[in-house]
Amino acid sequence: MSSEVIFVIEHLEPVVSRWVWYEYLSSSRIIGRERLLISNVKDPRERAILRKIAMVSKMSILKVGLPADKMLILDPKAPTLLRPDDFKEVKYVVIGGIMGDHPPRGRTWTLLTSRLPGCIARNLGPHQFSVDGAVYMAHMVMHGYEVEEIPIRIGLEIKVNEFLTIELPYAYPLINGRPLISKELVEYLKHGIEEDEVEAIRSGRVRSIAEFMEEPG
Amino acid sequence: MVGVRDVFIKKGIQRMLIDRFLEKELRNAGYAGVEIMKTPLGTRITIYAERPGLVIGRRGMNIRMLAERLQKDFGIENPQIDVIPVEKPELNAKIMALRIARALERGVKFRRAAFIALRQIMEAGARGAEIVISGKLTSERARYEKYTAGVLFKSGQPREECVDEAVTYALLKPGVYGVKVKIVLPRRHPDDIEIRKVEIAEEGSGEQHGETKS
Repeated sequence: MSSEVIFVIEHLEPVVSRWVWYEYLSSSRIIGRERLLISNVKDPRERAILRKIAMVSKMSILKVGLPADKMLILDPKAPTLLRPDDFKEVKYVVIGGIMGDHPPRGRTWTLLTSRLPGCIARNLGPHQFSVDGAVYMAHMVMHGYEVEEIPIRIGLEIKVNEFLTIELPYAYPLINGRPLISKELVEYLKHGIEEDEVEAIRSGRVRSIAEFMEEPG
Repeated sequence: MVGVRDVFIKKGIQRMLIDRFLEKELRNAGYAGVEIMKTPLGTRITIYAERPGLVIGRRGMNIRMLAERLQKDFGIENPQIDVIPVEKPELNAKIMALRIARALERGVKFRRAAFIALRQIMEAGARGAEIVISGKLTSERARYEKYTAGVLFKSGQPREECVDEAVTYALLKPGVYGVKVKIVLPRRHPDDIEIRKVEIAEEGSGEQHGETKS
């Protein structure tokens, strides 16, 4: 049953920013394009770009009408921890495509879980993961690992130079002792984000990846 | 006892509210802090600012408006406002935090703004400094960017005595940034130990004299 599970990222941000894109890209590398569905993408240009890494839907998972008892939502506010047994009857694992606050505001619960009565809601422990981190954790649990058995690191420090350090207050699964974060995202945080944020402050909105690229890299 | 405690809590809250009000009103004047002292004639309010001229305003217009607002909104009796310039603004955490926040609001690149501020602080003679810009814009994760130079005391007596700390916010259309500045002031701290040179006695005396002073 587990091999048929589809991972659904319900995109809940106003745009697919470069940061969002790098996390989705990393998710696609973990589980493969054919098993990743990104839903609720309203912009046709963004859909065209995301199609290179996943199946894409304009509609929200809330409106597709999938059977609620076959859906498992990963929600930090859910009372129960995710276990390998949870995947026995499940066909869809839903992850909120949300760029987290610190401390988290519980938006997955507000925007997803509370609107899908009857679905199974599970958490990945007390810490907040990135989207690709949550996908990796769920993927590992699906293959029989307990959440507690998967090594994680809480908080990540990226040293840019002698004077500057970027701190990300999230949980990251460790693969061979290294935290799961895409190289592109690290490079973006080191060198690209400043330009984008200045542009966002000037224009009052964060730019979509559709404005950056014709072809995904 | 409860009555006394309430009075002090009320005073503390009022002081905090006045500080917030002045920070908002005098953001462009480089507001650095306020001292409030009750006198027999009224209340003496000492405002520290980078640019006192902007606090006072043309023909004292701004300062009169501030006095009126303090009297009306905060119930301060006969407020007498003094404005004192800050001697070295680069060593005042509040001023530097506001400078960075204003730069962010103007659309200056935040790393550039932080590095310039860090360099100015260190060139003014600080022993160390830390600037943390944190926050979240739409469609991005919350994160912290920490800029450090020199030594920084994080705890104990040196921190209490030598570190000036301030926090402010930059409200922007797509999100909010918080700016926290810590400056280790160039003053003697308890761990500074000076070792005097040992004076070696002349040969034959059989004694050595040495003294260590902390």
